[in-house]
Amino acid sequence: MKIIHCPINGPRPLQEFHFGGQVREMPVGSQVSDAEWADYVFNRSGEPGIQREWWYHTASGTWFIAERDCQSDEFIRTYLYGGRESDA
Amino acid sequence: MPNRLPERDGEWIDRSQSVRFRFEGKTHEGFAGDVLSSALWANGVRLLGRSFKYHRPRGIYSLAGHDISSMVEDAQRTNLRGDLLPIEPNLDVRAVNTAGSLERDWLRITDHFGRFMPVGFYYKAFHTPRRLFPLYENRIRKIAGLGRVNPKGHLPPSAKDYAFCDFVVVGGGPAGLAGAIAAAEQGLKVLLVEEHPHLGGSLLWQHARDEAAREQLKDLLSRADALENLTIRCGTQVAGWYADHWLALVDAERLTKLRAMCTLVATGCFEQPAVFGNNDLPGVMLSSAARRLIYLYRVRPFERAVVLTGNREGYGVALDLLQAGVHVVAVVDLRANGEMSDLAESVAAAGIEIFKHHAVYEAVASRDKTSVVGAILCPLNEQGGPESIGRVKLSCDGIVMSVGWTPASGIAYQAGLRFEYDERVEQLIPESESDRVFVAGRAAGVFDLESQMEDGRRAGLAAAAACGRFEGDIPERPVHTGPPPSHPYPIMPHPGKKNFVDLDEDLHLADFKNAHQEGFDNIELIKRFTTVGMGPTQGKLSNFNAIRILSRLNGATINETGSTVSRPFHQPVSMAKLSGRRFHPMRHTPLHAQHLALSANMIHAGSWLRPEYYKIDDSSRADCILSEAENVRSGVGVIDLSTLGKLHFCGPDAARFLEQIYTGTFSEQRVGRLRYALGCDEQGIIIEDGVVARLSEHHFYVTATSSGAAGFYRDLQRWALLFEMDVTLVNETGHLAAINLAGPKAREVLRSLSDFALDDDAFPYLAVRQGHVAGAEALLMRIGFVGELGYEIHIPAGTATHVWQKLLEAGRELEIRPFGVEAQRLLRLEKGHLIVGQDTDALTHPYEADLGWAIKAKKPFFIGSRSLQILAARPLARQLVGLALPQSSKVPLPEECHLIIEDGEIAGRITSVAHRTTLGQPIAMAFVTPEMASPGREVTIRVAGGKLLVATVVPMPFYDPENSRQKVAD
Amino acid sequence: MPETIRQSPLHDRLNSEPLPAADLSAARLGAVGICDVSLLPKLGVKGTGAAGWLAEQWLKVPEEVYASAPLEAGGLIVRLGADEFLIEAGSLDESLAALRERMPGDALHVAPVAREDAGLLLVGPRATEMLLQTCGYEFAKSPDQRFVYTRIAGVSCGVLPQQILGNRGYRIWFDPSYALYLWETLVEIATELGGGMVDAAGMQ
Repeated sequence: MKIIHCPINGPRPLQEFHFGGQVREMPVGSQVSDAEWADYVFNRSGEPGIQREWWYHTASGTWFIAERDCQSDEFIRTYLYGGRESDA
Repeated sequence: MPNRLPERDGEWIDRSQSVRFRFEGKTHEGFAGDVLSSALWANGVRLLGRSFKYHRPRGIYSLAGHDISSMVEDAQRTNLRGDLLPIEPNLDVRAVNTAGSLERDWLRITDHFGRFMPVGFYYKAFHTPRRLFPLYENRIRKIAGLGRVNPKGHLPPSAKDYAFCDFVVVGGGPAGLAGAIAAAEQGLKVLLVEEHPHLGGSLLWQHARDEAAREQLKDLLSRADALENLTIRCGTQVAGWYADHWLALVDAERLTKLRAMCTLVATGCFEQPAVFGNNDLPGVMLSSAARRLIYLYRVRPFERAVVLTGNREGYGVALDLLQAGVHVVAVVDLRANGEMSDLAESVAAAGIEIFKHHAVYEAVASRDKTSVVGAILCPLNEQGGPESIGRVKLSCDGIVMSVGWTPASGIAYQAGLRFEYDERVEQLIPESESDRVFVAGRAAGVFDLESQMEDGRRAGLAAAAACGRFEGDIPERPVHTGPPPSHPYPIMPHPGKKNFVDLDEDLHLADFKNAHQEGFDNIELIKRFTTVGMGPTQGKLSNFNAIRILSRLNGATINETGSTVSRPFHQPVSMAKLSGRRFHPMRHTPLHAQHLALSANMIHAGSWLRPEYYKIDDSSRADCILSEAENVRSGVGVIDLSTLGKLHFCGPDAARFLEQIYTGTFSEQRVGRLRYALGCDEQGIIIEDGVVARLSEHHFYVTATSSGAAGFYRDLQRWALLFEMDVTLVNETGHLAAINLAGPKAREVLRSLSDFALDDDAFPYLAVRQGHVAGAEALLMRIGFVGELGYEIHIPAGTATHVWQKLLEAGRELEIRPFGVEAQRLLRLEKGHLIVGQDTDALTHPYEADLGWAIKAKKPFFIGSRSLQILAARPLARQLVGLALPQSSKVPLPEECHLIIEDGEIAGRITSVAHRTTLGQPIAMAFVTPEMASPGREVTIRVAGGKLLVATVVPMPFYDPENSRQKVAD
Repeated sequence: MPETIRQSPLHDRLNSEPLPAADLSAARLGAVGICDVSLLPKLGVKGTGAAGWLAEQWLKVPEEVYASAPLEAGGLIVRLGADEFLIEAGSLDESLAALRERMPGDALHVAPVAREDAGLLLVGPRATEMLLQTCGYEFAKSPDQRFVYTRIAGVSCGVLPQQILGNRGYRIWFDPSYALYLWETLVEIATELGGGMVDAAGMQ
């Protein structure tokens, strides 16, 4: 079972976490077209490579971001939102 | 026991403990430490099982659990392997897969029809005519199974636990022991796991004649024993290797989930069989099996043996057999030049005839076909194929094969390593290691004993270095010198078609040629078409010969041909071990015992246990539910709502935060008031609803749905980060209990228990108040979910029982009664109140559910607002409406999810329905198309049995459309 | 609010059988004892102003997240996060109501959190072994007095390892709705290890 390094709780097995989906930038502003908005809501990238993902440590209620190479399934690093970093 | 050899140091049997057991209805005797196969063989029983397809007789083959010649079952367990099953006093087993008995298995007749059942036979013979397939399937299943599962058998749950170490060593042979010791000496916490009951691995039976080797083992064992940080588990298999060095360890009692930092695979090799005619008869076995019989279990394997060899080992085996009192008739060497070492000299000196560049062409069967009585040898031509002249027939009752090895590489593959074929050893060896996964010993192609220990030590030091505990030089892996330990092609064609490649599946050489001819020329395809390697042993003795065969058919090298990856489990793991204690967390409200005391019928609602209804006398479930609901309408009832989500939002940005989460506005909400809150996701789909109570300018208390609360709070925590607002979120869901007191008499009950004013001016409809109820700190909300005067009372969980009991006491004269989940669902349906997830689905947006009023579109942003803009501009696809169902009808009333049909098409479905209501009229909530949504419109519902029922669209609420009951002043 | 109207979430379950006698408790403590300490009064304090406000109450405020400290009056305080604390009283008589009263009424930056967690105490030479059957966290490497959030038998828990009666023991807090399930599960395992339920009172 994979280990994820929670920035607050340290290395924990996968079963202690909940996956929160890809980190996405919400398009803001009144110029955003319907198509652009729908793309944000419904589409995700399936490209191999390093993805930024939301993860949640269930017992402590900690949200953090993980950079993961989704092709090799390796966590590169994890950090709290707002940029405080720690290595995976 | 006629075949038992004299006592020897290091034997696995305990001669002081004699054990009687039953096999196939007959009693036999063995010793503690014997396995079923060894005890039977010691007693002269050579017929141990029948094969899967042809029911051919089988005897000992690997004696290591790498074959299923002996598979047995008893009343409790099935598919046990005789090679691995220790005998015990009450053991009473029979062979699986026999019709009648093992000896008289009448399905052995299928052996004669072999030529009508080539590979792919099932697909081709039985796929037409299609109408007969169920019959074929039925018959074939009955013939083609192995053990039977006893559905009434019961095994107690077995434990599971976790374990941790720095370095796990898989395999307790010389390489594994050396590696474990080297790492432990550097301070690592080491766990050594050995699947057999004793340590030693190949040292125990391959070098058994060598006194120096036995001393080596003793030395390794005592050094291992002295190291406190080295723990050893025998009789434990490593069933699989999973991400980040997560290993499943399985022994007789439990499954252990081990987390390690580094792994050493020192699992050795599976000895491989040769392929020749009748190579599956009882008496034909691997050389390691014969050696295990001799050295571990002290059983003389045969009277007269022929040794077929393709390597040096075969000569050593011949000497082992000789020493054990077997008459070795001949050594048959596949190699043109034979063997040049002193071993060959010793064999010749013992008077054993050596046939160079010869093969065993066919094993001769006894009349009843249950054992070997001879071997037919043939000289080989230049290509290594059989010559038709010069054949010799030798009489023997055992043929021992020593033709080569393939690494037990499953764990290494699972750990991410890959193997490549090396012609120096004629076997697969690791392409490379990773920084934390190592392979040592024979699994890495290292066959010399000294080299194996060096190789293990190398890996142990590398592990220590990876853990930061060793900084010295790490030696190189020793290289193999000398002739290869494996023969590149120990496979003999034979016209009789009983030269087996896969003994699990009864596949012979021609099956591969046929599959190849049909175009299945890729290793993955030929595996699936022939089913090689798909039997219970997962190809331990067949996969590599299949690869050798395929590469020759393709004219390619082994590396070009490739191989398949072994998946967990290494050996079968029972379901009982996997399920362990079965942790299924269940949630109870603080009032659980109260409900039981009131004869509640409890049901599972998500992970909660809740009262469905309270049983009264002999009344039916339906009567009880209706009676509870009627009591709420006319008197007063009380329900446990502790499962509700209960959240606080505090801080300067609390109101703003709520306005971005929900569709409504809250900034102007007055302190002490309640407001309905609707929550959507980014798609504009309804995901949550509840009530927002404003306790102060910067403090809101919000309820959320029972099933959605945990996930909703989790998402709120993330939104709070993203919105960067100054708000504190608190989740008190499990810490508070909630009780709804509802009915026209509710105020009277509460009056005697509350310390604050309850008259309509002081506490109007849709207000929130804080104070004490029955002495407990309480927050009360006056809402109307069930459509009557009602107070939702929120109290600390620990006070729930006290408050509940006081409410029942205070209401006794008013005939207060508890009501359950079903009555509440009925009451709210009469009021047309939807339940998220029941009357809404994953596509329902607010406009479909007549909740457009809850959307304050003027807000600059809330979750889902942009999507709702898009949805609002589109025509509706469906609408949620109320239906009045006919009071009496020959056609049964609908259930949830029954479809609305219009012009032969699906036009909607029932989302909620009540057959008996306090209105005296069955009602339902349903999705219909917008054209059908006008009151008075008739709609057709398809109910159970395909019958059609006509209902009428009516406005909601069905009950008290003026909503006056919940606002009643006094 | 008088404390006598509060009950442990395990109240009915524990009342359904007699408390173990002193010698039985002592024998169980030789392996692993479990006792219910849910009734100890608790209070949560949360918000960006929580640490500052607690310091003003002369409470010893742990600086690091997951650090814990004993309180002068008995009991302990645990830092659950940058902005969240758990305070537990040292005995059933000590009420935290007064502390709660002193909190600012507007909940602007300091909010009270109702804490009705189920509370258990695991103690004995086999306590760590028992946790190994239910929890994948390596407590052997975890220092005393450092709070750990993890899952035990599928339930999210907070765990504080401590030295108790000369052995490594564990305080456990979790959502009270799981109390019955977790109690039954842990008692079953403890019994197999030669331990079981012990009476909290007997351990003082």
